[in-house]
Amino acid sequence: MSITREEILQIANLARLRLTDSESEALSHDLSQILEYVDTLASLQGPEGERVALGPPEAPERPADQIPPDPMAHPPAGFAPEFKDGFFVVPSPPSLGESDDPGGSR
Amino acid sequence: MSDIASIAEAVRSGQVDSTEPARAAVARLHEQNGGPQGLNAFLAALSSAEAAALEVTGDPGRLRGVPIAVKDNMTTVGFPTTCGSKILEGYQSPYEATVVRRLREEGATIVGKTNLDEFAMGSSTENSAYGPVRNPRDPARVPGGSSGGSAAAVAAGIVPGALGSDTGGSVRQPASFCGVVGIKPTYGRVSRYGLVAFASSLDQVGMFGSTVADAAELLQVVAGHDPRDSTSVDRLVPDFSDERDTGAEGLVVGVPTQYFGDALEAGVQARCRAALDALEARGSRIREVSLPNTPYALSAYYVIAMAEASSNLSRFDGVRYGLRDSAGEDLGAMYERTRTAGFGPEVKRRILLGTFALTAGYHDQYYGRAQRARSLVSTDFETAFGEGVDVLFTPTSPTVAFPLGERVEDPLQMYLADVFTVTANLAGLPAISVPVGTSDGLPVGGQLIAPKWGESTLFRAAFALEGAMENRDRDE
Repeated sequence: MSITREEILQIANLARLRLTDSESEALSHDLSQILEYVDTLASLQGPEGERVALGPPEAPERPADQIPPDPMAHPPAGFAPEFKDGFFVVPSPPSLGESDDPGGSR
Repeated sequence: MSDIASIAEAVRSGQVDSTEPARAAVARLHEQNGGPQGLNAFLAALSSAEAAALEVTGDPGRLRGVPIAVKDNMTTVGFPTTCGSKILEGYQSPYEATVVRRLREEGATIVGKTNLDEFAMGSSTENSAYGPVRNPRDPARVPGGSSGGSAAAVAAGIVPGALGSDTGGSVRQPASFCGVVGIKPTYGRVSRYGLVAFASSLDQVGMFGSTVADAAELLQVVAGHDPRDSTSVDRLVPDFSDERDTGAEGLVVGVPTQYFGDALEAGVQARCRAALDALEARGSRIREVSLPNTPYALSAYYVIAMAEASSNLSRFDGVRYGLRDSAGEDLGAMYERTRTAGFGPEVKRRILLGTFALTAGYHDQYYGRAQRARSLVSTDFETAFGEGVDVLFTPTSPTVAFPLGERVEDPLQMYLADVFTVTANLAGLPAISVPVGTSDGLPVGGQLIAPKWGESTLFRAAFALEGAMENRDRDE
């Protein structure tokens, strides 16, 4: 299995990453090499329909009661890039255009 | 006085002041960590002034005064949590991981946070945004990874014990490369609350010590149900120290033929065979077994781990924490700019591969088959243990520590370093790496794997192996 530079750019778009030309070239080579190795899975023996339960090998127990969150050592303003009036502040989504609020959209 | 039990006993008996071991550890840390030839094992640490002002208060716990290091992908109050990434540079978590809290409650002093491959993605600790870690046994070589900083800190004698995380061998492989003991418990044995997620169906917190007893002591302290982690299981935690003198007599040790093939370095093969001979001489029965689906394990592991990573790391987008690079653009552009600037090359590679494996056109071809392989690998183990084998013995890694820079440009070669360790993660089994000698002066680790929840059996075998190797070294 080889993966083209165009496919790499498409996946990067899905993963919200920007790649330079040289990065996409190098990644096309690396990922093709890895996928070639991973293609050993195609020779798996056994019934085609056999599937596994996703997740951990043993179903975990869930706590019966709601667990209150840890008290925070410091509030979100202490770790968020921008926080105001109880909200994480972000730039406007593309479809909404520029916000009148200098603090951005919420 | 370099092991946990001796330090704890010296503090308990009043032989040394309760803050003295941590002060000494901090002094060693600052002496060995920095500079061009320094280990670079720590990303954050107590300063000498902070160490001098330390006070150990509260009830005497079983780790009172013992200095411990914590891998920098577990949240701590008082130290930043960076995951070795620029995207979390300087990030101060508002809460502490359960494993860290439990260590502190037993009186341990956290002296610093250890370097790692970015978001625990790597096998050499060369992928850290803050530079590679050097192996204390040979500074020109890697310490293994991704918990290379924790392994190096213990191997260098800076701390007697450390926490790491193990998604595909990230505790056991560096333990092997650095000549220390490293354990990955059963999936669900230890809380992951506060462990920054890489691949949630595989991640587990692990422990390093210079002896099996130290690794057992750390696991004893942090193990047990945590209602804050829905994957932790409410199950009795046995007293692992009970296994210290049980011995190797009658232990049935399975040796999977698939782990002793051509890929194994001759020196590693020789040390592992010698370790098996030593166990046999002490009364263990060695039996060859087959785990026929082993050849699919590494492929399955990387597909599953990368798919889960691509999902887990989507939270790093500049909104709630860490780096933000908005440069006046809209929200979508901010996501892209932040992630592009914040993630390193290996993390991007894995996110892209994981995203690819989950796309509609390829999901069944890769992710679906990988899950099927995972099931078959688990069944192989169940069959072996069901036929009377108590533990399995394998090499931890096919090679000894390789030179810095040797594999960093070849991701596939780097991934092959995990070929013997990923199977225990796929099956959720407990496994431990114990030093079994050296090859060309570099440490070799032997891996023991036990059935699910079989840590007592695992420690019985590990204590026996450690004792057998000590006796053999003495005889030689």
